[in-house]
Amino acid sequence: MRQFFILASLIVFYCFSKNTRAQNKDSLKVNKQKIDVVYNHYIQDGSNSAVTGGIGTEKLTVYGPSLRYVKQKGRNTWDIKMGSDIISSASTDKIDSIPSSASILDARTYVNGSFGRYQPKKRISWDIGAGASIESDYFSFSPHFGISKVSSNKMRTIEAQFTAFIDDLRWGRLDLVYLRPVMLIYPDELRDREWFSIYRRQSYNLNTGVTQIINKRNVVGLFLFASRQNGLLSTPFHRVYFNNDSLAVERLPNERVRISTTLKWNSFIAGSWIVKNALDAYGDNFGVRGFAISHESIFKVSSKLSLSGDVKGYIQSASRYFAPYKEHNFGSDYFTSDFDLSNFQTLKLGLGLKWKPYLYKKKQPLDLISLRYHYFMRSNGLQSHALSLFMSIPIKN
Amino acid sequence: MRLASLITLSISPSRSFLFAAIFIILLSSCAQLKSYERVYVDDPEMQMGDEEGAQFEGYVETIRGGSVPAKSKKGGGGCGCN
Repeated sequence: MRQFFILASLIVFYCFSKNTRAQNKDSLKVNKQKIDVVYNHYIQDGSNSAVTGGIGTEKLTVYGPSLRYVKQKGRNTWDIKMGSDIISSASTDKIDSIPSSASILDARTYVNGSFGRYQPKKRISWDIGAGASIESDYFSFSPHFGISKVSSNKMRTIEAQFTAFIDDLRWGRLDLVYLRPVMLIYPDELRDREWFSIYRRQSYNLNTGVTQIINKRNVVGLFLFASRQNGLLSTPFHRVYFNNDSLAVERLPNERVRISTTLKWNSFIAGSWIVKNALDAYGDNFGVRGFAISHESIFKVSSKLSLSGDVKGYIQSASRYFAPYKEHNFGSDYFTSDFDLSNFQTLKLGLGLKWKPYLYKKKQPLDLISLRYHYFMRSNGLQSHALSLFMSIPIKN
Repeated sequence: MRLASLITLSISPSRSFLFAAIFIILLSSCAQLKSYERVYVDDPEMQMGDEEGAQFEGYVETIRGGSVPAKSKKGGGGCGCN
């Protein structure tokens, strides 16, 4: 009997170690490459532009193509993404007194790269990387580091990610005359003085979270975001009109602390029906408080096709520094007429489609096509439409 | 409008986080799953992260709503002032 137990123990040990070795070998064998192609189209209209002091058009169109390359070899992953948001904005054209085709069109071009590694023995994944974006009046550099750990029973994942944004708000880099940062851009009629002595903005963001599998069909996640911003948090070309008819550039404090929590619950309700629910709560030291509730239903029509619909409601209380056009008292320390910091409710409605046309086929020129549409309305009249097309293309090794 | 303000002011992120943390701890005593029982929870649609198209929507929302939801990609960088 004793020999039997020793033999059984040896077999169990051998099988376990073989299984572990096989898993480790599997993770080393992975060798995949893909390119994701994304196009976002965004249209917006409203009548509370901050550029014109809380009145005037907010008409905006964004054309946003991007490319992402991902290579996974063994335990290592390389990820590079680059794209551009070409922005046609009626409000930024009002910075100058004379509308022009040059100021109505701008572009935000960005690149992000990261390297990640999975350590199977510790069940830890980490990634490190950096990104940069440039606009005519903005440059941002953003290093980041993230880590996640899966519990031994694979039921819980704990994750943390730190990102810093080092921003410079000076104009001139994309101007052919200067090709270097020169100055802050103020509204045309307010360029007789320097309104700010600083031009940099720093943001330090920490995202943490825990994901817990509850049972065969339910997963919950709790996430916490904390951020500290300092530097020039005002936008130098936002106008503010006071109740005595005087005019100034928006002025906000040089420090902002933001905190938010999100609770998510994903559930595979029936054979082909998945629901995703989330609650968000937000607060900052500008006095903004926000609360959101969202729901998404995904229906798997077949193994190749799924359809989705989603709805999100959001309510926000105004920042203590906000007042509409000509309602600020002259002499206040801080003031803005940016309606993004006002009291409002929003509603977002969306539809989505995902299609895997070549699933189960030996040759897969396309892995996935996804199309999403969203309509967004804000209680002060702002409305927008967003359309996103996503294609994932595998690359043969 | 006043009711909306009252709701938002009464829900602070720190209070919500504490409540949700207790909720998660209570749930964490759940049964374990075997490999063949993970078919639903391992489905790509059941994951917590946002896909590429949804990331753009999140980016726009952080600008047009004054807040930044936890787990969102945006938190700085880029003007967003148009």
